[in-house]
Amino acid sequence: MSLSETRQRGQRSKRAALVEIREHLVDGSLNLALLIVVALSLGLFLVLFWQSVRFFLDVPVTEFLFGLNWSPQLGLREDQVGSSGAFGIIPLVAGTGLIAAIALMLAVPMSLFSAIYVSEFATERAKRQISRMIGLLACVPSVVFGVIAMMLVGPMVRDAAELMGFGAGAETALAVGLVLGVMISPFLTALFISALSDVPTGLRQASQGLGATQSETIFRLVIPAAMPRLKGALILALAKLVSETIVVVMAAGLVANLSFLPLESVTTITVQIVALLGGYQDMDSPRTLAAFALGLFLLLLTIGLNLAAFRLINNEGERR
Amino acid sequence: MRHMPLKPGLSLHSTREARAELKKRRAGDRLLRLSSLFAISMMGLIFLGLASFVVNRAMPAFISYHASLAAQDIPSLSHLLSAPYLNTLSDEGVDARHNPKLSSRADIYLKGLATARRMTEFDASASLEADGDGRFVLEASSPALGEVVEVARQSLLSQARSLQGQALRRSLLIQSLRQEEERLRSIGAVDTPRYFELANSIRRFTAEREQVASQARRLEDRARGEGERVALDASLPSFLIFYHGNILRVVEASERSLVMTPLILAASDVPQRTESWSMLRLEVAEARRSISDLEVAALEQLRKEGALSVRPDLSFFTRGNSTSAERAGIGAALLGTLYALMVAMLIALPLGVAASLRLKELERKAWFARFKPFVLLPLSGAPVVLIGLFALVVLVQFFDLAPASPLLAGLVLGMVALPHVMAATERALSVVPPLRKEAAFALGASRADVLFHHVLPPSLPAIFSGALVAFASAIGQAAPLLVLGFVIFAVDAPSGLLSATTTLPVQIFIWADEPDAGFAHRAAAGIIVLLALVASLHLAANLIRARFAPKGASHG
Repeated sequence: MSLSETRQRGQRSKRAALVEIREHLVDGSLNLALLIVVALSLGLFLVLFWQSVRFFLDVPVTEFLFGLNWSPQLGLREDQVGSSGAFGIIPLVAGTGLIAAIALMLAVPMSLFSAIYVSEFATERAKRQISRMIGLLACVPSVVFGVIAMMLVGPMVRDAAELMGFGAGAETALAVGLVLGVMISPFLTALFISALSDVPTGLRQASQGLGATQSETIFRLVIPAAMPRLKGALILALAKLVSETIVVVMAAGLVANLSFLPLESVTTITVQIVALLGGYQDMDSPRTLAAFALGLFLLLLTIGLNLAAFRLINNEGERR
Repeated sequence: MRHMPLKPGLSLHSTREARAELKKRRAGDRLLRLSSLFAISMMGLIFLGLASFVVNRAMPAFISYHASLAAQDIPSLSHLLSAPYLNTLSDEGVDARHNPKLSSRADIYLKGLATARRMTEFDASASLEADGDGRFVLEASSPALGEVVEVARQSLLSQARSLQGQALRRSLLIQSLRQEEERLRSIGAVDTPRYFELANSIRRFTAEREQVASQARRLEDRARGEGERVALDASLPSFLIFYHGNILRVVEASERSLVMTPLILAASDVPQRTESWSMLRLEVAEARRSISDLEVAALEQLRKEGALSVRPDLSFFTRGNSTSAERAGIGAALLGTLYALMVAMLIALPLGVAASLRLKELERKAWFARFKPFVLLPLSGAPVVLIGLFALVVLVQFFDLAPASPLLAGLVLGMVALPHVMAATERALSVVPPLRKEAAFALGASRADVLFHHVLPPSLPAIFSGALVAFASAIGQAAPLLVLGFVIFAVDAPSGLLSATTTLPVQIFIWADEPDAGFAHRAAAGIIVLLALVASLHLAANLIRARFAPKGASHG
């Protein structure tokens, strides 16, 4: 073995070592990144969980979940009578549900029929353009809709109610629900369009070949075929409505009324989270910890909804 | 060749019933087509209406009123456009070289924000005479005079009612305090500090109640009037009379005549009788608005002669927040948003891309594929407001990060964008054909080589454009920042990553909550700036996608 060959081998092994180091460096940083992301994700859950545990040491879980009264004393003094407050989540869930129901009642028919138009009747070109517009509209920040609810729809609903002889404030569940319905409909329409468009054309042709009209094809074939994904889209929209914060903070009320009347002022889970943490409070008081308990409840709710939606959408994918 | 209809016997729909049935089914088609067209145009119209509402509301924030000094030549205006008058109307004062911008309270009035106003013209005859001690009396037989009396009376009565309500609330309070006092006395706690405090409060509230009630009675007396005359003062809606270039304020009204003090008198002599005069009604009382009746008179005079001009005003983009609506600008919040965006991009982009590269590799392993959704769901499925809660505990409490700083906003918004960046990366990576990687490995490339030469280059454009969309939606989020104390009064642009700031959506939120109507316009104008920023990020994403999209391959 000549000297030069040995030197060459030495260089090669040095280069190999460099490659090795680079490999480890890249590998390590990718691992670190994934670790950080997982830590953030689990940390989010654990922080909410831990703070909620601290809250439930003060307030029993059963009272929190089944209590009919929510008045956490947006309070003045420490020694005030009843400063412990009542932490029953039912009125908040009812308020959230009422607002979401109103929103869906507006958004679902509008979005479904719009999606039918785009996927069944529109030309290819129009379909592309409309889809792009809808994608843009779905990105409008929610604070915009908050301002609209506050300045336009709230007063409009109040005036209309007065005209028909109902007394109503500016902060009605109806106004918030309508605005949220408008806000959610581009998102819902986009999901509906993709669900309807993915129904194979062959099915449609077969149906029409057997003599069904277009509307019969749509109602008896396309929509049933797309149903799991339509349901999934609906659940995703519901999750988005439940977690919406800014619009309800701006335009819904602060007082927890247990009411199902659209012209009443109701409050939601997210409104209360923001109200409880508005400005820095004493981080150890039950009042502040209640926000985290609400947060945990909301997190579990939205995760559940998301899982349900994904299951519906994926199952359908497997079936095909 | 003519189309021959089928013989009746050969048609599928041979009977009348079958044909009717077919017609009905076809009608169902038309109905569906029409109703779906209706639904989508409805949605379009709603969004168009909302957009026009926002633009319409935002307009006043981008314009300002100026006085044109050229109109000094008009005799009736020369004194209004010279030193003493103009200095009250304009902060810039008299400067012959340019047309001075009017003061913010004049601006607010001219934009119709200070008070509702109604101008009524009359073609009825009226007579005016001086009554000796500087006042003028207008006599006319017009229902307008009755209106003045009626408005003044109603206003006085409603003020009296609100005072009576206050008195009633105090009575109820006193009643409940009395009960508490009674209870203390029954348990013999009469010389405790609590008891003294109670007794004191009861005395104080009783005195206040008497005072308020007597004020209410006085107002009611005034509303009833001496004879049929009602006196108007600064606590009532103002009525200005325009009489041949003279502007006078009504101080006393009856059904037949108005007693007025002059605000602006024309130099020419005043005719005794006239056939045309007009009345301006300002709904908000002088005491409750910043602009005085005298200034209103001067502005109306200038407007009537066309001596006011409207100019675009871009100071909205540079100024910080202010207590006065007309001086409030978006500059500070815009800069804060850009800082936060920078921080968010620097952190979330590398983190998200690296994490999803690793995820993509691990996904092939069965144990991980099962495990993955549960691990990442809290992050990707959590409502954004909860990310604020997490940051409150971890970043603010534990790491003691400066609240309301661009750094904190950037970290939070980065975390909001993170799952979307990861989703975009995963979509982009799926475009890279697995064969290409395997070929590179087969030729002896190291894993880092494959990553940097074969996986990242073709997918980077899609990663960037997807990430830009993610950041565009993240900077529009205000919810997580609300619980982190970003609702602050940000006058100055942030000087660094740790100085107090706020972001665009939070600033819009703050303005929308202000009771002053002028801030509504600022909020709408802020919305336009925010939408422009979001749209430009989307545009950048589209450009990247269009410029670097692999030929022939489509991905979405």
